[in-house]
Amino acid sequence: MSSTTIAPPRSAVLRAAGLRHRPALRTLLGVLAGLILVLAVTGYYVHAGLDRSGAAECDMALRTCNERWKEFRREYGTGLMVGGNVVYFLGGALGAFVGAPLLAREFEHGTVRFAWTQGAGRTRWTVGGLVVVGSTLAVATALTAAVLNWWIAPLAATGGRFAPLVFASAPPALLGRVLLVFALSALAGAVLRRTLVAVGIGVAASVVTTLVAESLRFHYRTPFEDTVHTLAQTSLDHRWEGSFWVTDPAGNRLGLDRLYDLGGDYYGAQKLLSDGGYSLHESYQPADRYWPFQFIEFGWTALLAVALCAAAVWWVRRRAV
Amino acid sequence: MAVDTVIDCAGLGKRYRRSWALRDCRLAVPAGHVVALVGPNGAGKTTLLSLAAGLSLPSEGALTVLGDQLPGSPRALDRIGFVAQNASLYPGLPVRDLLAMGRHLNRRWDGDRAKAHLEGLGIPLDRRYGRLSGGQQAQVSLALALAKRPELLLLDEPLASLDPLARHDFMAVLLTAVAEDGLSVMFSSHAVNELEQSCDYLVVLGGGRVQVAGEVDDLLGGHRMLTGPTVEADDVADRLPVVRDRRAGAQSHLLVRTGGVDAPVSGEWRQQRIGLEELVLAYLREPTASALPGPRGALPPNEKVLLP
Repeated sequence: MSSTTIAPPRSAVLRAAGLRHRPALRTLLGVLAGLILVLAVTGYYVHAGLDRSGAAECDMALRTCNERWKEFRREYGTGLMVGGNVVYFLGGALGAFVGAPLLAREFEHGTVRFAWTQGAGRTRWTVGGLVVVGSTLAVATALTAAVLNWWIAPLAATGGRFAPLVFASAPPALLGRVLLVFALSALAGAVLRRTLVAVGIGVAASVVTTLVAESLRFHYRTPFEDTVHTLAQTSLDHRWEGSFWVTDPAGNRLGLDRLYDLGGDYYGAQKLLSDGGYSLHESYQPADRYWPFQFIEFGWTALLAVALCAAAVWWVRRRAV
Repeated sequence: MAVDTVIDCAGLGKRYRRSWALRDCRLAVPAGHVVALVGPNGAGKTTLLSLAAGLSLPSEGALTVLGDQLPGSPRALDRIGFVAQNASLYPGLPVRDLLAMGRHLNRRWDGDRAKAHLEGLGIPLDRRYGRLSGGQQAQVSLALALAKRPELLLLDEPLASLDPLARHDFMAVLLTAVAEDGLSVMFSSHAVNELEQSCDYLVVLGGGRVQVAGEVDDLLGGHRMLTGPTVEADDVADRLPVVRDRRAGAQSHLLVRTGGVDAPVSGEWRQQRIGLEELVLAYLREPTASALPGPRGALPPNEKVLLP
């Protein structure tokens, strides 16, 4: 008789895991529903303010348009920046609050001795919990991130959607990060058996993953290069500009500050570029790489999350109580 | 499928970091008994039950349950019920959900009996587990374990935190299930004075080793308390295997193993049978003494007991 005929079916284990985690999942959904409500109400006012200012429709290269934008920023900018930064640094922490208790609390309350001695066995039980809670978290996070992305969209009006705060709150990027932190917190909870410590590790990981992702992001695909002969702002298509450098008439590479030294001031430097044979180069990612980049970021974070979940299951399999 | 032993181990050892919780543990508990596992704190009772339940792995030696099953294997998990110390379950879940979880997590499930059992005790199914009294929590844990219809039920200190009435109710439910299903039970306990009514097989652990293992009737029939003049005590002690030797002034008390017959003493010596509590306490006070069935190797000279 094989083991599959003795253990209960997987679907039943998932139902049991759903019952066990129902209080926590209810809390999660309640908190996120409240958050969505707050975002909807405040987002409505922010978008109305942007429409009133007229900064959304005009050409940002014009001085009058820029004034309108500044007006809008004075009124709503602080709120947007605070909200954007909280999501940027701590958005992943949502995964920590859900993932850390998942296994750690079983050890803290001693409920492993019940759960691991049932016919389903500890492996299926652990996998079931990770699947049920992880997928509920994923759906809820994706919904919230969609609303959040709309809420923070006014910040993209000047900086483009590659601006860190805007990019990090889009559904694929945020979802991947939340899942990564969720999996790491669950693993930390299984190893350390302390919910609070695991939450702390998850919150720290949220900050770290944001910064790591931002440092990697520009290199997801080989950037394009562009050559111009002016210091005036050139990017009007919301491309993501990486680095700038200058070449002299002989083709030697210089820094921008060296160009200013040679030209004496802004106008001198500008003259060197337009008439003196110097040229300004930039590396950039075009705006239409936004969605590919979103999914690349989601891809590696989600893969890492799956690997960490597998590590948690492996740990549980070999660990004694 | 009938099995002859419920727990069988040899050379079993479990080490936590540097200290051994169990060492060189040899035990073969036959099926069909209610086994009491007795010993002082730290004797290895919880460790032995955890190993049998498949919650931890031995550091040395091997242990099988229900004949030849490995603890923690699907077939063993399917046939063993386990009630942990303090009977911890999810405090935020209502009893009804806990029963549903048990149904989903086990192939066999007798939900009707669990419900009847809990309703008979007046435990509301919609109340959260964390808001039940200690006695009710223990009953819920027991109901969950029994609803699996296990062949072997392991209970770790099920009575420790219960008041006398709850203890009585708990044991009543347990013994009824034993009578109805014929399952084997092994429970650890401190409550030495309550063992006689509940168990018919005794295992005494001391310092991580098995000191006593046997059926209660055999153990009680095989020991005598001898009382007589101290001047003759050495003479008696030389002839008989002494478990515990207490000499006070003119009179001495010797607990000896006789192998089921009266001790061959005469004159001023009197002998009487002893109760289970007295027997257990005598062994616990003499950690080097042991009473084990079956053949054994040579005993170190400092062990006081000879074998029948």
